[in-house]
Amino acid sequence: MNKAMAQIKGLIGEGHVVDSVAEMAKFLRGNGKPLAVVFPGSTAEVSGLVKLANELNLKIAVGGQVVESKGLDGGLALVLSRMNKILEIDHANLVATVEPGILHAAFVTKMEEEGLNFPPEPFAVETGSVGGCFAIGDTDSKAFQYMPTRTYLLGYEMVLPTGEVLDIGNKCIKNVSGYDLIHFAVGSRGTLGIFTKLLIKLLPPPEVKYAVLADFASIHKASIAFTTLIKRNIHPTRLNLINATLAKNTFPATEGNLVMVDLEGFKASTELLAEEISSVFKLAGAKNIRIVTNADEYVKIWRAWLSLRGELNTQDVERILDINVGPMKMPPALKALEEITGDLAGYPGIVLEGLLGHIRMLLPTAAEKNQLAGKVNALAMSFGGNVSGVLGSRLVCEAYNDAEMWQGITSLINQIRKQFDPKGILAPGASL
Amino acid sequence: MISHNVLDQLKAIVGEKNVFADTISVSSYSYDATMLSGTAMATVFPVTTEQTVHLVKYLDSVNIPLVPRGAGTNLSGGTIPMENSVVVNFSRMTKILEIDTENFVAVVEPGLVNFDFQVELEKYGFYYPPDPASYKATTLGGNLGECSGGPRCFKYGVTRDYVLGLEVVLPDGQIIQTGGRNFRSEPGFDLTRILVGSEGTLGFITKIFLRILPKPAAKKTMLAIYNEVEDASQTVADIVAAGIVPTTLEMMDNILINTAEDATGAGLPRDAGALLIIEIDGHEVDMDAQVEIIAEICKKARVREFKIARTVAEVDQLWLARRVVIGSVARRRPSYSLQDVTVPRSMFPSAVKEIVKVRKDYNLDIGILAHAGDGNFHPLVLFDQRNKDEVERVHAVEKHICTMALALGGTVSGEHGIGLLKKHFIEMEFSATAMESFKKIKSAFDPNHRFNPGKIM
Amino acid sequence: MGVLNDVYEMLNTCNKCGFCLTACKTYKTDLREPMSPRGRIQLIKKLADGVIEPDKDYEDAINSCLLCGECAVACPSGVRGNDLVLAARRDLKLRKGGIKPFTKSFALKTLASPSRLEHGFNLFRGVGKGILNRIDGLDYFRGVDVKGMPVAKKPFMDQVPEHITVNNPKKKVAFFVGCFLNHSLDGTAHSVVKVLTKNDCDVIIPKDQVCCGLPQYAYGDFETAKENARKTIESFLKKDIDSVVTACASCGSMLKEEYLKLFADEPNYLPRVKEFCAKVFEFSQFVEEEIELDKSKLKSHTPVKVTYHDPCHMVRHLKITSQPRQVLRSIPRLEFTEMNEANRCCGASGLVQAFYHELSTDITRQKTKNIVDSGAEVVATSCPACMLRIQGGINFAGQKQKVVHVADLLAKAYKSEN
Repeated sequence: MNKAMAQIKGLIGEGHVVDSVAEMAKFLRGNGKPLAVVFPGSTAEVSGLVKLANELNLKIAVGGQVVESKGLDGGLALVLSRMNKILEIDHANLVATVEPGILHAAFVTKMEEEGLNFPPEPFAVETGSVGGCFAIGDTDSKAFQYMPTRTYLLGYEMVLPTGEVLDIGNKCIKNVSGYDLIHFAVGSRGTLGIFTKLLIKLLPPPEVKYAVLADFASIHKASIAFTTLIKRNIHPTRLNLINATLAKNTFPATEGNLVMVDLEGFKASTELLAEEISSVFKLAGAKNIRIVTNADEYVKIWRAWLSLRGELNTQDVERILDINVGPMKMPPALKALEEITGDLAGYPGIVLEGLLGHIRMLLPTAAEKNQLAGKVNALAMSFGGNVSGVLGSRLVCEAYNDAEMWQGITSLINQIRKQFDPKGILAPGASL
Repeated sequence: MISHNVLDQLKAIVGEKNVFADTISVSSYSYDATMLSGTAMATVFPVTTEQTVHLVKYLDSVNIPLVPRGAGTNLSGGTIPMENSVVVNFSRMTKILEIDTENFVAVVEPGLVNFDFQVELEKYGFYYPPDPASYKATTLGGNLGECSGGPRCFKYGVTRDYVLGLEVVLPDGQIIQTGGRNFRSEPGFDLTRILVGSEGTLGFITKIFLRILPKPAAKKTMLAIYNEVEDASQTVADIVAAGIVPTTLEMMDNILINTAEDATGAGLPRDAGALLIIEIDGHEVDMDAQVEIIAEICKKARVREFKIARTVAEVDQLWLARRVVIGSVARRRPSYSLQDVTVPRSMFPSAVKEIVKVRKDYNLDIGILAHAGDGNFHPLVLFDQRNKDEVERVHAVEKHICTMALALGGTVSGEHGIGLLKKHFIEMEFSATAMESFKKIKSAFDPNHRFNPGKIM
Repeated sequence: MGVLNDVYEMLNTCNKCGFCLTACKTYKTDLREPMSPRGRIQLIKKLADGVIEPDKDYEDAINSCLLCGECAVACPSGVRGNDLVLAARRDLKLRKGGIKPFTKSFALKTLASPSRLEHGFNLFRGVGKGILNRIDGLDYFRGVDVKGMPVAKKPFMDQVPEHITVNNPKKKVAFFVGCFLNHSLDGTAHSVVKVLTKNDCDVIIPKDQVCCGLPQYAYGDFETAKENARKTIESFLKKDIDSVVTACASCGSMLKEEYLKLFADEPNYLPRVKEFCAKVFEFSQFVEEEIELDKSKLKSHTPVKVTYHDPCHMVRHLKITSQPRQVLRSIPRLEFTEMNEANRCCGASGLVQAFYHELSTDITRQKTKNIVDSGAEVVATSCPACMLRIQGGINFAGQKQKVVHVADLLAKAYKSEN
């Protein structure tokens, strides 16, 4: 072990290695016990560490600020916080090249200063990095207007699990050359490799950003109001709801459940839409409807939303259950869900992304997730959806009684992992 | 030649009327819209996923490779049969299984023609954004295979951005489903994305879940005519820099204006250096302000004439010229070679300049057509394939243009795919590590190289 | 292979872009490449290059073409697929002496000879129909409504004198009757005569007129086609006439356009052909352009909803589309409605319906659906072949719509006046 540590320190410098348990804890999530937390400063250093890990058979997991330590006993936790530079901002092509460790918040602030727009939301508002956005690939609630997170990645430099450096992509927004490894990597949770540079697509900023907030005593009425908007071809940037329990903490003034609408676009149409949305909410029985046009207030509101989202993202996975149903199927799905969960407003946590048909549940501490997931998945499937993620795929296959298909998918994914990472070094905690 | 035994087995799987091995049929599937050709042993038309699975398993057992095909309109050689393969033709799987406008989802079979799909969606006030120029004939399965683009990509993206999920038959006969009906992406390897654009080398798509959109409330189509092609390209750069995202920014140069005019009689000015078709869409109340900004930008770039289409008929007329332009060059010379390079948008003027220069240097007619907003060029090199000397110069130009695109930080394929045609250039674009990674992907899906052999790599 | 050499430049111009695929009814129905314009063109080119043999499958590809001309409209490069198929059929004829098997070529020969044709119809009229009617279940033979197929009690030309005169004639019009109107749809022929005489035209029906030659021409037998063409031209030009009117779109396109191509190699005779062609008018074209229709004379008591089917030879060869619609709109109490894909082929196409009946029946089914969807009670058209084909399709589908000629509706409006 000492020899390994010496080699690591030799590679990236003693000052960039942390191996005391107490100090390491600051950078770790979960109960794994890695050998060290290391802070590489360049692609070459990352590559060197990965090659060393292959030699010594050490596991590696990566994070921007915090690393998931599951399965990482005796391995290396790579924190990329030193690799946090913006290498280029190219206004003519609306792209930027960044290092993965740059904090999402810092990046977005810089882009706004430059008159550019980067729509994806962070995984966690305080600690989330831009690299994390793409490694996790969790689409934000703005996807209906802005498309999913993956569409913002035009290329990358990545250290593969065997230490080679893969450089792929270019500044063209239209590119179908070769296999689409670029978007394939988004959401791969560090299993395919470690991002060391990202080429990011940006947009011109919207002319205005408004918010519409409204308090709904009934989640169901809010959800029906959402479908009314969709039927009228009104597709705001975000159309979200947080239930009363969560709203109490985030927005203490809320009476009941809070609906949060984001409108980003041209001034003329945005003003019209804000009014139209307000009147739809009014008809649906909402209280305290307010149209927010003040920039500071707007930022505050959505920062609070991101904090809440970040808290849920970093919760124990056993307490989180995500369901997708068709957006117009939300009202009946919520009715059915309530029969399983009891009162939705008082449930530990319910978050809706109306345009995406997404329901996120924060389960009670004592809940049996697996048991609940089976029931909820059956419900979701009856409304054209399913529990999301790997758990969902497995449940869907189970529901179809299609063990063969489940086996087919898992063996394909394992094949791919094996091709790229024959020794199984990277992201031991990630299950795909 | 295919043995009687194999033929009988194929007939047993898909039925007598869905297997063809006569000379005429085989010969009819030897080509696509490129100048390349190959030879298949037979053509089979599966009409269900189960038949596809049986075909894949059976042909695997007798070591015969499979080449997928739709309408065969691709421009990359992606459907050219290689190595005595069997063509698996999906053009008889044409069903629309579901159109769910409430949830923005449609479920279709791969042989459905893009245009037929649009016609059906139109009835609901919906549409499917990717519409390659050949959309009247192309199948959606083919669009997915090549990850087709079209003129609306600047704002709306390419095919991969509209695929929610797939049912796929893998080379070992296993059926898998990727993605789902939801627009929100899921954690894990994005198998849907790696399959889209893989030209059937990784799996055969038998069912497609697509995202569909309501038609925009308002749309404005503009025509800007220039004396010099350089002025048109400056306009493109300026519009992008101004932060406007048109749905479309199409450019045609003088040569193509004339051939398109020959074909349509749409009333395009034959003496113009270039024209731009600019289209924006969105909310009614936002249109005029944007049109004004665009008009201003065009003026600054010395536009000769700036028109806004007032009627639906005028809009259609403009688009008609654009849609027929590729085929219409045959009126000038019988053969053409269609390039598909993309450069970063800021490099657009440089690329135009270089192509104008190439035209002189190689003494060839080259029409410049571009999805200018995306930096995606389709230079059309005109020649006669019976003229050997010309053919050689054409190949030299192809290489020159690809090299140029890469030197400007671009790619050798913006929307047509690699197929056979660009195989030689792909190693210029990608590092050895990237090529190695492609091979790893292929090996994970298709270790025996059974699906569409010889394509992409 | 002179014929294919002559069109080689056009064969070479096909860039295989595939834009024609959707335009082609046979492809859209069968979905195989050899049944598409691009497929056919590439096969013809390969035959010209000596890469393939003109085997049975090749013949099927070439002979199944509807010659509807839709591919030529769709082709951005200006390649005329129908012309190339015509050349290929001519080439086949020269190589093999015509289409095989015997039954098919027999049908063509019969059409070419007036006496044989008459004999054939007489046989059908007398014995054939009697037998057919006694066979249960045989209502549709190869997609053709055989029992419902009208047969004239005696040929139209035996029913009328050669000259039908009116008081103070404004024009002297010769009527090219055509085989279908003569032997099958004699009612429509009477309608034509009625409209012409009601509009102060002397009608001359040359008794020695023969088949226009299109069926033979379409299958590459240019010799017989020429023979018939020459007979036709001479039998009309020897009369003292201002115009020649035909109520058959197919005959019309042959008389007005194809004759010129057919005799392109006879410069001495060509002026006479041109003289003839210049006189030829399709019925609705003649009504709209050459006579002034007095609408006050048209009466109708019952309202009727009518749609119009554009025969291929009208819309893409003669390029006549507005005139028949104008004629229909001038009839009182007639509500005109457009059907979807009005200008797409009905599937008849000469002998394709007999040789490739399954394909043809599928295409007719699509036409029938468009008619039913339009909500019309009556389908008007300008070609007897389309009339019979579409009526068969409608009957086959158990629907009630009636198919008539534009001339029939117009003539009926005069009848109400009496």
